[in-house]
Amino acid sequence: MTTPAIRVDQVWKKFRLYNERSHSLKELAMGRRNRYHEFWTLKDATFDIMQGESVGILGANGQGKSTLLKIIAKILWPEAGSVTTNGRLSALLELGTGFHPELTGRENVFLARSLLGESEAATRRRFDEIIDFSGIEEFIDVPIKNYSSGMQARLAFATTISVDPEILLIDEVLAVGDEQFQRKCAERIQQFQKDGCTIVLVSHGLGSIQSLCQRALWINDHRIQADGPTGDVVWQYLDQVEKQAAAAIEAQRVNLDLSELRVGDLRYIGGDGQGTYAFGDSIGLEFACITDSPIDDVRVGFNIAPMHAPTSPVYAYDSPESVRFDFAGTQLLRFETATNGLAPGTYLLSIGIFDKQRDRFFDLAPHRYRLVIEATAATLGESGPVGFGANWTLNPTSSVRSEPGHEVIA
Amino acid sequence: MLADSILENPPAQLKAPRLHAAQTLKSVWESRAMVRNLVVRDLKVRHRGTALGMLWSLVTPMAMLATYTVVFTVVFKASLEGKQYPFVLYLFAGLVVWNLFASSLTTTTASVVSGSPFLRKLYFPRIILPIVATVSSLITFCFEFAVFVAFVLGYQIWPTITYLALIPVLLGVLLMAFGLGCILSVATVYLRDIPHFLGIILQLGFFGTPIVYLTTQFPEDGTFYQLIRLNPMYYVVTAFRDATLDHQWPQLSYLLIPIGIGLVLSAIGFNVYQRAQRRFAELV
Repeated sequence: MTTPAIRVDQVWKKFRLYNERSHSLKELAMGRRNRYHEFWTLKDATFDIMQGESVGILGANGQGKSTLLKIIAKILWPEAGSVTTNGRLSALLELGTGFHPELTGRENVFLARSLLGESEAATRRRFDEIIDFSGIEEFIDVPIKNYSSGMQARLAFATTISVDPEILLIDEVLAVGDEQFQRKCAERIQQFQKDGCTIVLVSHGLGSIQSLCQRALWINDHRIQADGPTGDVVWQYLDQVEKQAAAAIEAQRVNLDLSELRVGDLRYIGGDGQGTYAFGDSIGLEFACITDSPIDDVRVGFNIAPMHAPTSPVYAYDSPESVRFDFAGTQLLRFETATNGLAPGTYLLSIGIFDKQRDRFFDLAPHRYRLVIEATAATLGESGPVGFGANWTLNPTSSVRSEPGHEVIA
Repeated sequence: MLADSILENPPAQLKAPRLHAAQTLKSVWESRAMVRNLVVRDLKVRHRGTALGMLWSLVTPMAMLATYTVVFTVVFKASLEGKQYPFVLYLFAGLVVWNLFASSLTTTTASVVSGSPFLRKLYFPRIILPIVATVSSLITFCFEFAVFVAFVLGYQIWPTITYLALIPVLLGVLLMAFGLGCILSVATVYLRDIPHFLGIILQLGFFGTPIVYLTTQFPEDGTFYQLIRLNPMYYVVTAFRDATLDHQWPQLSYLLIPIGIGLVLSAIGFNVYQRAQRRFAELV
C-alpha cells in the first residue's frame, strides 16, 4: 500500500474567543485577566488523502473548513492529534501574501514565490509565463504601488497560482470576484490534476467542488460529517442546507396572522402527478387557500429555486391581479404553463399569499413543495440553470471544403 | 459513525504533535532562500521612495555622531588623555556597536507582531522572523562600520590584525540581541506595550554604557566600576575600541562574557519562542 499524501489523525483544534483582548499594561496591572471562552473548532478529524486525489471540503461558514486547511498547511497547530504530509506542499490562502507596495513587480514575484516555497531557479524558469499571464510586461520594473488595483490583483493571482507543489491546498476565496480569475483558476487546477498533484480545495460554492473533485468532505458542527464521493456528500449537505433554510423561513411564520388566510395543499397537474415533469412539459399547479371569512384583494405568488441554492430562485411569479374570495372555506388557484425551460434537476417551491400592495403577508410556505424536472433527449449537452432544448446539425451542403493550396479566409 | 463513539473532548492520551529543536534548525536551513529574500526586502523597502535612498543609512549615524561630538567636545570639553586618537573616534566606535545592539534588539522584538500577515497565511519555520530581523540589522551595521573604518583611516590610523577580535565581539552582541529579542517578541504578542518600554530601557542603557563618556574618569575600585561591570555592553564597547582604535587584543574575559550571556539568552529565547510559536497565527 502506498503512503498517503496527507494523513490527518484525530485532530482537535481549540480556539479562544476573546471578549476583550487586553494588550495594555494598564489592564494587566489592574489585574484584569484576559477573558475568553474556548471552543472546539475542529473535533476528531481523521482521514487520509492519497497521492493524486482531489478532495473538496465543504460546509457552512465557521464550521472549521479553513481551520482544517490551515492545520494541514502547518499554519495552525492542533491541540491534539497529528498531521503528516508527504510531498512538497503549497497553501494558497490569499492572493499576494508578502507583496510590498514599494517593491517592483519583478521583485514581488520573486519574493512572494519564495514565501510559497518555490526556489529562485524555478521562479526564473517560470517568470515569463507569470508575466504573460498577468499581462503587465511593460510595468514589471515599476513599484507595484503605482499599479492599478486590477493590475496588482492580476500579478498577485498569476504569481500565486504559478506554484508547482506536489500537494496543493487552496482556498477558493482566492478566485473571488473576477469571472476570468475563476475560469483561469479552474483551468490551472485541472492542470495540477493532470500533473498528478494532490489537491485539497476549500470552497463556499459547490460548483467548483463538483466539477473538480472526485471526493468531498463535509464539515458540519466542527466535525467531519461525511466523507465520500462528491455526489453523495453534496447531496447530504444540500439536504441539510435546505432543511435549515426552510426552518429559518418557517420560523418567520410565527409572526404571520394566519387566522384569515392560510396556504393549504398543492396538487400537481400533469407530469406524474407527484411533482415530476419532463423537460419542456407543461407544468400545472393548483394551490389551495383556506379562508375563515370572505376577503378581498388577495394576491398569490410563488417561486422556484434549485435545491442546491434554495435562497436564489430561478423563477418567480406574482399574480398580476388580485382576487376576491367570496366565502369562507377552501379556494383553489390554478397556475399552468405552456412549456417549461427549467434545466433538469430538483427544485423547491415556495408559496406566499399577500394583499394587493404586497405589504402584508397572510401566509408563507417556503420550500414546502418539491419539483423535479427530468432530462430528455432535447437537453443533451446542456448545462446551467435554464434549458433551451437546443439542436445542432452539421450542414454538409453549405460547408466549404478547403482545396489544397488555397487558404480559406474566414 | 456510531453515536457512542462521538467525543466532546480529545482522549487524554492523545497529545499535540511535538516540535523538536533539531527539526526546527533543519527547516531553517531549508528555508535559507526565504530568509535571504526577506532580508533583502527589509533593506530594499527601508529607504525606497526617499530622495536620498540608501544614503540615509549613512546620513543618520553621521548626523548623530556630529551632534554628540559637538555636545561632548565643545559643551562638556571631553578629551582623551594618553590616547592617539581624537574623542570623535572614541564616540563613533561606541555608537556603531551600540546601534547594532539596539537596532537588532528593537527589530527582533517587533518581528513577530510585524510578521503577522505572513504568520496568518503562510507556513515557514516561525523562528525565521527574529533571524531575519537580526540579519538585516547586521547588514545595516556593515554600512555604518564601513563609514567608521573610512573615518578611522581619515585620521591615519591603519587597521591591524586586532580587527579579527571583532568577530567574537559581534557574535556576542548578536547572540544577546537575538536571545533577548526572541523572549521580548513573544511577550509583545501578549502585551503590545513592550516595544515602547524597550525604547526607554535602551535610552537608559545607552547612558549606562561608556559611549559618550570615558570610564577612566572614575576610580578603578569605585561604585561606578562595580555597577558598569554588570552591563554586558560595557565589555562589548571596550573590546570593540581595543580592537579598532587601540590596536590591542581585548582581554579574553571581555570577549567571553558577552558570548556567554548571549548563549544563555539565546538558549532561553529559542525555547520560549518554540513553545509560544504554535499560537502565533491565532494571536497576532
